[in-house]
Amino acid sequence: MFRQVLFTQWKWARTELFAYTLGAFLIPTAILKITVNGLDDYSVGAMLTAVAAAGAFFVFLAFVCAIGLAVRPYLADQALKHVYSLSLPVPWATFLRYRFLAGAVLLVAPTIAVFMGAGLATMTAAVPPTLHAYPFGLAVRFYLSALEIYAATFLLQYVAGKNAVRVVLALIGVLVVLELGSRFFGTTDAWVWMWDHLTTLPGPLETLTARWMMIDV
Amino acid sequence: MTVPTGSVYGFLGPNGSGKTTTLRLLLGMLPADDGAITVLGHDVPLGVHKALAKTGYVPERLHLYPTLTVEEIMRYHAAFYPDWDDARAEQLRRGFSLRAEQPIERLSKGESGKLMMLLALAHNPELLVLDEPTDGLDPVVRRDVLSALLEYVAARGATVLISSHLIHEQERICDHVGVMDGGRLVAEMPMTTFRGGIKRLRVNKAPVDRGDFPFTLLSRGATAGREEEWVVRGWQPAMREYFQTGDSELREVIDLDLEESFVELLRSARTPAGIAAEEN
Repeated sequence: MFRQVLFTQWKWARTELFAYTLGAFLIPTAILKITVNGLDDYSVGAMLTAVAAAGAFFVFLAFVCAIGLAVRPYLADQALKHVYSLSLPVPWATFLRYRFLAGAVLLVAPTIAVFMGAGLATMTAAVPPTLHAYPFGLAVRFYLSALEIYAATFLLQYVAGKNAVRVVLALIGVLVVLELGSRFFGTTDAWVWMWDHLTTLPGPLETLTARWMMIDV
Repeated sequence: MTVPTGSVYGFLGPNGSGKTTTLRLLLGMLPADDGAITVLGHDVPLGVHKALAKTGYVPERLHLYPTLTVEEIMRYHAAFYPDWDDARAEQLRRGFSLRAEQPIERLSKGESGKLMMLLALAHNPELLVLDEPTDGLDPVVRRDVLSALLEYVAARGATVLISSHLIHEQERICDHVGVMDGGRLVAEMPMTTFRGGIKRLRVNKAPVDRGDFPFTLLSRGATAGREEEWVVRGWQPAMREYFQTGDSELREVIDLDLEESFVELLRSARTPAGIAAEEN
């Protein structure tokens, strides 16, 4: 069953998946070409700053991959009003588990490309001896971030379903309340408190907001 | 609503009467507000996936992923059904002249209908739930699809619940019939009763309804003079005697064909008197 679900999801997303994978492979080389170019061994600080800033490309790619892979199967099911999926003799939760796992497996392709691309880029670039390459760490961060975004999108579509808009509105409502609280009641740290809790371990967004370093000390 | 095991149950009703909704309720695709549903001994929705494993379903519209090919959807479908019969599926595919590599989005309406019937039959279901399976198909394709269905039913003795508004087609293949209107099941009976039990009577000096009619009066209306035309359900020849007891006279008993019976049944169900009669 899972193999067939995986096959269909691969077939629906194969063109985009190829583009994501190619992008994931080429981005590390492009980043290093731009950031390392013209810097010498004494410009370590500038190089690290540039590599850290370029990490935003990986975050962007993780978003694009994750949302693309989550949306494709949902649109396919939604176009048929879920009639076919619901008529299959498996519990709905099992079907959703297969759907989710298939997308998680497909995310491995761009992750491997990030690993290989970063490995190749750091091997061929003139990296100062005081710095080290972390292609595996970068790839793991990429996969975890993409998986997190994928899971959130997947849940919003399949579990919240028709209530997805309400869920999003509720989240916006919480943010507005926090903002109003900070403005009118002096709870000035509300945003900061929330952001800190989300972006520092064990916060769920830590993996996204931490430094995406292909090379580091 | 009760579909007897081994029967071919025709589910009749005008467009929008709730046939598709009922079928989707039976298959657990929609949550029921009230009541209980049991399919092949399994409670719906709790055990619906067990029932679905033994059920072949053909919805009214193509419900398959359009970018997959015929072969791919057969493989996909097979993976979910433990009793899938590859040889049977291949035989049906060849019989229906479906090309394995043809994408579903490029299938004609007739080919789509055949593919859905193939998928419904190839896992040897005990129950077939067919929602307008031949609607919009040309006569040749319709015959192919129905032949495959009837062959399967004859060989396996499967139960069939077939929804359609093509009454004459239902008349040929069904042995039980249920009629739905406005979200209510207004009648349910063996086809023989439905075919022979609804009559139009011409009655002279028609008696007053004292609630003692031996049949169900679906409608009555004056024609000429003191003559009335009645449509009754559950008619038996022996009931002629009822009109001989009083002043009235039964002039003629007219057979209705299935379509006329269906229309009269619906017409009566839509009047308060008809609703009361059905409830009694």
